[in-house]
Amino acid sequence: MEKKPILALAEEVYRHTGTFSQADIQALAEEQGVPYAQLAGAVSFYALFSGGKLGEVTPCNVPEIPLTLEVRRILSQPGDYAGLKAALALSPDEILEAITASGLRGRGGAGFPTGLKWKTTKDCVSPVKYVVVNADEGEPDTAKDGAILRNVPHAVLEGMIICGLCVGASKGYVYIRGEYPEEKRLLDREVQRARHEGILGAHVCGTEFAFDVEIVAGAGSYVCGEETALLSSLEGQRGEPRLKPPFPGVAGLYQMPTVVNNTETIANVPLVLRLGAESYRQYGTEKTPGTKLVTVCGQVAQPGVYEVPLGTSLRSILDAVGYCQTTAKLIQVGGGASGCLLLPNSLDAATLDIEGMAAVGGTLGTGSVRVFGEDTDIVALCRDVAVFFQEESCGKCTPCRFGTKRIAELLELLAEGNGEAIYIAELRAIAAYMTDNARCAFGQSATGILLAALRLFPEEFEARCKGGHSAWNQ
Amino acid sequence: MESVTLTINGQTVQANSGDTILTAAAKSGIRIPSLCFLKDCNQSAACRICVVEVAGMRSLVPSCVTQVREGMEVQTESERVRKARKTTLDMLCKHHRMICDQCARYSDCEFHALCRRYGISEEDYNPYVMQANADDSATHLIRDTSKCVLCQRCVSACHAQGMDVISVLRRGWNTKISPPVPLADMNCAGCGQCVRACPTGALTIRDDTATVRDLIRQRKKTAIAVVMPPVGRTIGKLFCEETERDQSGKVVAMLKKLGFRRVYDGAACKAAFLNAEVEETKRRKASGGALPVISQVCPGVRNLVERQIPSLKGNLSGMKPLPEYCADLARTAFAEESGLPEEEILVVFINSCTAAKTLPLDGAIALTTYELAAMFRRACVSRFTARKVWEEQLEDASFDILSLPTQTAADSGQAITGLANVKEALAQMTQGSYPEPFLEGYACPGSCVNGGGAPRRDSSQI
Repeated sequence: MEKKPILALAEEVYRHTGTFSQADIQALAEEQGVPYAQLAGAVSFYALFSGGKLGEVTPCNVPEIPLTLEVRRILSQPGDYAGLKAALALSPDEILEAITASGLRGRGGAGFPTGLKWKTTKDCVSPVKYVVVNADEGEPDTAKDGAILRNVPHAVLEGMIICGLCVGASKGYVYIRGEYPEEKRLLDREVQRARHEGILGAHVCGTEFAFDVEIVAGAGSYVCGEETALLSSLEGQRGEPRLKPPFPGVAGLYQMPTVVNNTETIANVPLVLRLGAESYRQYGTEKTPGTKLVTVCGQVAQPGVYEVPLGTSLRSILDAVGYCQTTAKLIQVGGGASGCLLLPNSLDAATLDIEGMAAVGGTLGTGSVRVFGEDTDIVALCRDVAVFFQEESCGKCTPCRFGTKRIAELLELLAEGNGEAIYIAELRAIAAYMTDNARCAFGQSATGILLAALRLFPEEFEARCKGGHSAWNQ
Repeated sequence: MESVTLTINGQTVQANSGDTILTAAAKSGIRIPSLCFLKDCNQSAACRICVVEVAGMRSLVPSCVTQVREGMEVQTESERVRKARKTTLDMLCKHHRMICDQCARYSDCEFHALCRRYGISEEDYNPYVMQANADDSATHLIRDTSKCVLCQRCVSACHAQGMDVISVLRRGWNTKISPPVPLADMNCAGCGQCVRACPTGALTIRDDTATVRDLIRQRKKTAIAVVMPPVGRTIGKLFCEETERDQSGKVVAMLKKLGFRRVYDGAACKAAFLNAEVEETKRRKASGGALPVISQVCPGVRNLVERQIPSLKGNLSGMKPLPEYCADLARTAFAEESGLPEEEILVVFINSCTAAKTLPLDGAIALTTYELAAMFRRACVSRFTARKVWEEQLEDASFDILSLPTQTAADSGQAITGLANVKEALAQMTQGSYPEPFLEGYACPGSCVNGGGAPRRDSSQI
């Protein structure tokens, strides 16, 4: 059932030879006892093996001197595994209680309560369970997981072991983005150290509890950041999202109960045990306690990754990193591809937490913030996002496979100034159709930025149509 | 099982908890159109044709995988749903080479039927011109990805057979359903379950009807036929019959009308064939030889052994494959009866079998049930007249007598059907743990009635 992940083996072959021929695939399939066609299909899915483009990496520098409004809790955890040691003194129920009481919510974008997620898996009766950490940080403009893996890789391991202890899993996987070789190396070094010091292995810190961690690198696919697609990918299949239910908590990796947590979420876990749920809630809001890593980029003086309490006003963060309101045209929050667009004048009310962002019609998402300057070409921005989605669509369902392609084409025409008024109508129609019909969140949200841009800057699209402004109205 | 009450299109409906909306609707006589759904085979919710509106849900939901809940309110043909379906079909059409009049699937294309139902036509503007992209490397089927709608039914059917020859390649707009190399270079057993699962003309049986027709018309050869039992049992469906009774009598009459001089019953040939193999097993037991004996009754199983498990080649029975055996019997008998030289006789072996087409049949041709019906339709000018002729003018005729050494079959033990099961048995055999001395295996699930050349499966079967 449990084998060495095929993706890892495929990567070894690829890194060794630099190519991946059908003969290589055939040989690997035979060696692993998997059908050749299936493996060929899986391999061809990933950009790395099929000559596609890998994702771009957002710089993840964490400035040495924190901003005044920063609270560095996640990023300053020492490597003493004190959280784990505290957890080892507790029963699984008590650990779950602490996590639930802390109010920790998923930091990958959905904001699902972590305690509830763990409980689902904990309540399952199964001889094998898994802990999977999602470090496939494919969202553009986001570098928080990279920052964690570079600065506090031990916090990730510590969180995983605590999670394993709580839900009864003894094997963990970190699915790390293929574009993060350095982060992978650092994490790998930490795993070696932990094994050497008896923190990982058959006897975690000298107890009877066994836990080990394996790191698997992705191979260039945005959609693998979706938890079920990630699990398929870990199993060596195509990274296509699965249908829910069943949820991974009940039937995840190899159909076993699996906790899938974002890197930032799992790095919060040792903090909760180190500080206690009560002290953990010292920062953040009632509904979203704790701190959040924010990746700030674009037209600001000091781009970087910052750790701020949830609920901090967006305006104060932007002011602290050197933001000029007069030259800003647009603020994007929550991710470069699936985030939301805000006008600078709507910023003042916005606070950086799930409810606060929802109140201004946005999303917290991955917590990235990008400032677009006044010379930003909105149509070109939308086109770039559309091309990104077209390249990353898994192609399983009709709306996404065709819709992402058509939208990218129409926006390309508009961006070149070869548009027609009817294209704008078609864009709206396809976008609405995709939201209503796509098979997973990827396709349903692929047009979020386009729809927001059409709402905020309709004149920019109309100006790109032949004959200038059209009579067409929204 | 718990009962659930819901409303579909305003009508109150009882369903079992665990049923999908699609099943619950079908049980109440409401047919929700679907495409990628194939019962017990493919439930991936990929095509989005079967979407329905459920009160309280933000987006449309695929009825093929969404389970019913108490008090659910479902709309299956609302304006929103119809519009969504039309858009989906329109999108699929733009990625589909619409050459319906030249397509082998013209008469029973599921995709075309959906397009007609929702008023999508090939004349609509299409920015993407599809180029023909056919793989005709194999002798039993032809794949043309330009007609593929990416429903993945074939992939699931192939996977269910334990073969995994066809898979999904690449991603996004470039997604392609195909083996990674030409089909002939894969270890395909030829069962044809993929063809049977395909809703369009992307996968078709290699059509040998034109060859047969020409040989008969040009009087180059005298044609005789051997008809296996599944033909009579399944052909009615291709002429829109509801019941599944044995129509062998009509098949004989049909073949006589098409110009076949003699039509023999394949069931008798098969019984004689299996008897011979059982005898051979006894001989091997007595005087040594590879055991267990693997029957050659199914060409698909023979292909599986030869291409994937060559270490068991010695276990195959010494008989020729069944289609060849039948052809030889019929040819000899007819040559004797008519005094014609054997090379002037064309034997047509008819079964629901695509794997028979992978064999090098010397002086014989293998046709499938599906092709036979198509051949008859062409001879009757149109689909409509063919149905009329089938219903009203064909009178039962009986098979011609073929004298055989024995007519009753010896006990050959339990047959194993479906390649996945056969593969398992063969794996036991390689480990020496297969309990029986003789393996009568069939590639297709449930044996030849469900052969690759039988009437197609379709999405409406719930």
